[in-house]
Amino acid sequence: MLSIKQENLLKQVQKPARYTGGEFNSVVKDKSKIKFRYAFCFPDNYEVGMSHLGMKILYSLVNAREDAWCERVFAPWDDMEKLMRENGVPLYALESGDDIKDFDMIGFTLQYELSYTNVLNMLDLAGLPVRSADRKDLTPLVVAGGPCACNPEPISAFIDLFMPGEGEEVTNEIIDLLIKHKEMGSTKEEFLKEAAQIEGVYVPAFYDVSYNEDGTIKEVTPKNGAPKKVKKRIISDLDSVFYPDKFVVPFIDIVHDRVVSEIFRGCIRGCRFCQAGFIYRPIREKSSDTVNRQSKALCENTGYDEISLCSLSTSDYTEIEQLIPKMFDWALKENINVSLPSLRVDNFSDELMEELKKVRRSGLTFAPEAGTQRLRDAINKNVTEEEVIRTAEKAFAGGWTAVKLYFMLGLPTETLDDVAGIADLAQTVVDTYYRNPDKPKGMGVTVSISVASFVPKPFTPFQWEPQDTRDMLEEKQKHLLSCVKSKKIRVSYHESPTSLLEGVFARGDRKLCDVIESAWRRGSKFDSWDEFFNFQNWLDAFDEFGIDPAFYANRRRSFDEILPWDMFDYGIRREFLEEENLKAHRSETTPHCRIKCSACGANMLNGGKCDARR
Amino acid sequence: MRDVRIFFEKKDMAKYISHLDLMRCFSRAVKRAGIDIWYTEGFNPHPFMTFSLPLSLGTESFCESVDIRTNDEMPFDEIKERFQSTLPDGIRVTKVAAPVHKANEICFSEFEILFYTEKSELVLSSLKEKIGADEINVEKKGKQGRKKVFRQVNIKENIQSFDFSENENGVLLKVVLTAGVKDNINPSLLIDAITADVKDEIKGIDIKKTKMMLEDMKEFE
Repeated sequence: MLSIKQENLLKQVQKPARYTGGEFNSVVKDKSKIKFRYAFCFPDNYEVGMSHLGMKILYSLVNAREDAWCERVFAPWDDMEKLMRENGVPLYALESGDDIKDFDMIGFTLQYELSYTNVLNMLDLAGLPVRSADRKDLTPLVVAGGPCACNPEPISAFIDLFMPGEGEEVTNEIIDLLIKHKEMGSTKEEFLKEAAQIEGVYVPAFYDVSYNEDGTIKEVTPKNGAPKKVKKRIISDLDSVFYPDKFVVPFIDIVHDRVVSEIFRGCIRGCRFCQAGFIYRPIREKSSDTVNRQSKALCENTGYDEISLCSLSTSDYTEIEQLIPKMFDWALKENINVSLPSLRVDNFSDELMEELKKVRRSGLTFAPEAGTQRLRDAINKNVTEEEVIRTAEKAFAGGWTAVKLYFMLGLPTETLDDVAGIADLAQTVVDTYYRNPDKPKGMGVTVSISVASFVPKPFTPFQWEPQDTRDMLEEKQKHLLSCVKSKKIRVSYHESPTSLLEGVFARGDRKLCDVIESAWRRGSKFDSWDEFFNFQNWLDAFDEFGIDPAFYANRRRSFDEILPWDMFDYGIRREFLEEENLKAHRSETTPHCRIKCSACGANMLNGGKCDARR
Repeated sequence: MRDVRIFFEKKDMAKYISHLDLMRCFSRAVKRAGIDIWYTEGFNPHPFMTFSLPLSLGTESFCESVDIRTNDEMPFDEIKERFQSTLPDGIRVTKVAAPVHKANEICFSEFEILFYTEKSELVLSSLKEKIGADEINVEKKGKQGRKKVFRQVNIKENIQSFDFSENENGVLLKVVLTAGVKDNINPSLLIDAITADVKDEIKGIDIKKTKMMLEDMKEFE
């Protein structure tokens, strides 16, 4: 329940239901009966944060414990933040309305680099010092996980402990340990020393980093008995791991407002630009019975009328042909729509195609990522032009008239010819439509090309590559526009200095902590939102510490350089990534994991098991 | 098929649920409750559901209603019970019955407006003077095509009756305003107009909708 002071603010803000709590299925517990209070924070607004599956899983997982209560916290929008600061209302958790500074643990999920300033802002809004070293007490312990935790160095000064990898098991282990140390009356350091011994826990304060004169890392020295390598955690068996049977059902419209059913983790494709394709390995599937059962329970308990299957590539799910009829059997009767994102239509049976026609269809989207076969080979996006055309033909015959194509600019080895290839491919899709004898009468076709800027990420074969400068990207963008001749083709491209920043933080080191704190003190927050992003703030912050962002973003690293994330073992062998990098420069492809295992090494995280090879 | 009218209260934190969000909340509650609701038969079938009148964000109500259509003859008591267990805190079903009137017969709404103040006497006399004036001019938001426009309106005629009293929190105004499809008046318009002179003395305002009535002042059922 909110206090009168908190509630008074709600009458003056947009979308007050962001801040009330009380949504259906939100968990309220009796404070006197629990030992541990956990504030799970998503460093973005309610609509974005509430759409995140990981938070739903961990929220229910912790609340399944009798001794702990997990609550949700989001970054208040600036109208609310202003009122909170003016009226002395610290950041509170939605379920209880209690100030999170009094909680035992505050956890952040790091989904994208541009949310880092919000982490600092939320700590500050809670009334806590932003730097880990300035928070002397054992509680609240500030922890973080999520994909960006694979290189946490740029925010290592603010977080007490990181949990790289999957959180279902390690979260509970940390909670157990913290309860024990709270009862023992330990100091923060005593707790952290023992926590650092848990597999998959990284305590940044226990690692000293020294630098060479050129700014690269000279040496990383662990202390206090912390391990030299921290191995990410994975869940071995997805059929038996906890999955929520309830989601909190928001009042306001959020970004992904539906049942999300996870079908597998990892990916067999090995696209060289894709971080998710490497850091979530090895591939582990859920059985179609489990997925079906979990989806049905979630629909019954939430009242949602839409289910979305969640994975990195739906059509690589080996039981898709079994799953779809099972789910449609009850979903159609209940007027529930099943959406299948990241689907390849080409390898579908006709029966399945017929089944899919029964539900409302969304737009049709392909991601060739690059315009020419040469570059698609270099990035190992094993899609051929023929496949794109064949799929488009099938789709047009099935009545679709709009197609979206996703591409990236700034990929390693890219030339202006590759850029022109984007326009050519789009034109070929347009021509395919008009060749189709069964096309709907009187209907034109729209091919939308959406182009993003490539950002090299840790634990990918491109982790050593320079990111294109803004000038280079601008030139490529102009060239693309000049190559598009048809009015049926729409190009959307949004080049923003944010991709430079993303690149800096993705591969940054500890020296950037000062820069992030400085930019935040200058007023930066919600950097992924155009209306808040202030590039000058960032340039000033880099200047203040004499740091050149190009050192992180636009520099080619050599294979023997110590990288800031080298203390982590994500299961992928370094030599495998190096080989993949060299193959990219020779425009050679690597077959996907079901055709041939390339011995990336990730199966060793799972006792040698990998679902690509069963 | 059968029409069913569900009366409910919307209080506490639930008053911050907007009208659009409330519609979504109810269609999910119907699904969770397992009530066999009739779906519209258009291209995009959705559960059939109509609310009598939208309620402003931030206003509590004791007398909201929504009509649904069921495919079966589930007893009203069971519908009430099932619905109640699937609604969020702050929303409580008070009655489930067959509709008596049509929603477009609603002509008036009664509100209780509490002005929190430590200077009740001062506030009361100012409010009384303003509401008793010959004209109460307010700016009403409207649309001309797509353009948003403001126009001056005198809402004196829209006030059917009013009554002031004092209590330990401040001043309480009971007021009946025209409502419904034709001449709906948002009480916040009236509040803005009559509190202009004593804004600084008022620490907070609670608005509660207590009744919906027909032209002859009979309660909407």
